[in-house]
Amino acid sequence: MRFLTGLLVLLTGVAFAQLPGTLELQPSSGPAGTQVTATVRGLTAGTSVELAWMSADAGWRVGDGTFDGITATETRTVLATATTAADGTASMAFTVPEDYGYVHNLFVESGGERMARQGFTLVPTLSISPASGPVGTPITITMTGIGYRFWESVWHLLYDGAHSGWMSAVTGRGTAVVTLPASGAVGLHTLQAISGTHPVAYLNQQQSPNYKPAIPTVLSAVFEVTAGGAVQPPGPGAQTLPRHGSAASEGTGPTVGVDHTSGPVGSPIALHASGFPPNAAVELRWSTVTGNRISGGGWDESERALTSTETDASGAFTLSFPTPDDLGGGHRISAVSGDASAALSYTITPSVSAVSPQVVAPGGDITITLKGVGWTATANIYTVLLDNGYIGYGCGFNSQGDVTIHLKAPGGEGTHFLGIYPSIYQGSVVSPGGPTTPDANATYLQLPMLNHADHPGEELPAFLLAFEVRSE
Amino acid sequence: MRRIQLSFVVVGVLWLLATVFANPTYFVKADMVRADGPVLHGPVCVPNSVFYPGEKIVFRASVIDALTGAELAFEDVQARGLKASVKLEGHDDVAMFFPPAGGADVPPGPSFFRGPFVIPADAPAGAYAWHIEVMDAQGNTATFEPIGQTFGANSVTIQAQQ
Repeated sequence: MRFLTGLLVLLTGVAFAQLPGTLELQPSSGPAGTQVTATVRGLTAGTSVELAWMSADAGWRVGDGTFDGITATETRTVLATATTAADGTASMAFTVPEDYGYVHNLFVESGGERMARQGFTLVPTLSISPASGPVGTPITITMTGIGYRFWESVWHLLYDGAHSGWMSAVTGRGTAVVTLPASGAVGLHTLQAISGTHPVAYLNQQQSPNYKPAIPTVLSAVFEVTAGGAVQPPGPGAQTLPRHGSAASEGTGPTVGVDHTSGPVGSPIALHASGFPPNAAVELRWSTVTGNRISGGGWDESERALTSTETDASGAFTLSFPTPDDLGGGHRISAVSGDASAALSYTITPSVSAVSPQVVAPGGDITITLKGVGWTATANIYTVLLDNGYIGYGCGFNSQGDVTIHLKAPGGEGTHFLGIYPSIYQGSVVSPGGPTTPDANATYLQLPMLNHADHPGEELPAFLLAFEVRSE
Repeated sequence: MRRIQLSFVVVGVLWLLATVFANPTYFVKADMVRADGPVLHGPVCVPNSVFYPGEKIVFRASVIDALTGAELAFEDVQARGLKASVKLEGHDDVAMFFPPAGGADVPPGPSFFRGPFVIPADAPAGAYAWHIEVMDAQGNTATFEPIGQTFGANSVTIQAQQ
């Protein structure tokens, strides 16, 4: 075989430009934490060498309300150093770092020159904790070794026969942490992760053009639902993002300040101001965005009066008012009195109400209401899972942040769960190693981002709601 | 004399501007497929990016006239003296050839540049960057470079022999 290969190399007129040494890795693949011995041979005795691990710093690219894919820059990390022995060899041990999965180049370098190279395949893993519990038990699913390159960046999670969503780890250097509620009948339930940068899992990876044998085609774990009362999720109010602290407007002249610069719809805002004309009328204004992405009319930024008051003899005033029922994301609060004005930014964060009603007959009507859903391409939809199966999304742009979803309750009696996750609605999926435009075959848009901490753009919460189906 | 010198300067500046702002002559689109070689790990003539030592890669490239948008045929390539080569990290250049459509051993359909390369049996595993350069007899050039391959994406990925 070697002879034939060599002959063909000669026939095709191509030579292999050898580096001076060779590098052997033992083993040549494994998950993060694997102990590896790297042996370089064929160098001059007494050569000081570095073992460099090549990877990338990856991140999302978002613009002003747009989603523009994934970007990455190459990184080089020295894992070990050594000096070659009299026979020109050196052995270096290293631990595979927690990093993006798939193929990493390793170079043996000396004085900035590459002496030898070899590839190491960082293998993804899946684990769950705990392994058993009653319905509603939060199952923490940890996946390591997810990639950042387009075809390596999406692993779908399936709960029994249901598609739950996408585990991404672009900002997590390959590690995703997801929590799902245990659901279904008492007994064993299979969770499986399958890769595929498509709206659904790609089931025959071993027959794909970029199959890498060291990468498993499917990872799995089994959870046992035990008998017992359902574990209820925290109340909806406890699932919103923490509010940001106080801030004041910048610049000289009149100033306004608030006790919180973010909060869900209805959360109280205490505003104080000074430096305005004494005993003068002041109007408090609120900026927003109106429109949608469907009608063709686009959207506009506008401003409306929120309330009004009067300053005291020193030109100061205070106001308390609830966070307006409006789109999620940034808004401007401005106080205007004649030519005097001051403004600051305030962010509405998403919130959810309890499922209504909490107890419903099989097939009965249930309603979910979200507030403060945003308008950007990364924030204008929320995706919904029923008992860990993805059922669809709701958009909040055209309804000023309100997403009201009407569903029918499942037929099975007992406690059921609605998982509500952020997603990416639309945009460019330009990514390292990916296509230039999204299409039906190559996209990760409109999928639940189960590792919601990795969501691009805005920080957005995920929600978990429970309701009971009970026959009359 | 000064007028002549000034003319040279003006011509030089115009040439520089024309060069800087010139439209490209060609666009190149390219991919790579597995070919029937001494080692074979999958179907041939299918776009692929992961290969094994001993496998044969064929880089494929079509050249498009940037002015007309037309893909160049065998006769165009001959008339323009167009040459193409694959620059594969860590290897010597791979010269590409352009057979006439309908020629012997040429599949039906439009023809294009082909660059066969057999991966040496002792090639280290890893991700290898590549790009394709073309040049015509007038010195016009064009390059195809896959997006993101400086950090391993869209590169030729060589796997350790199984």
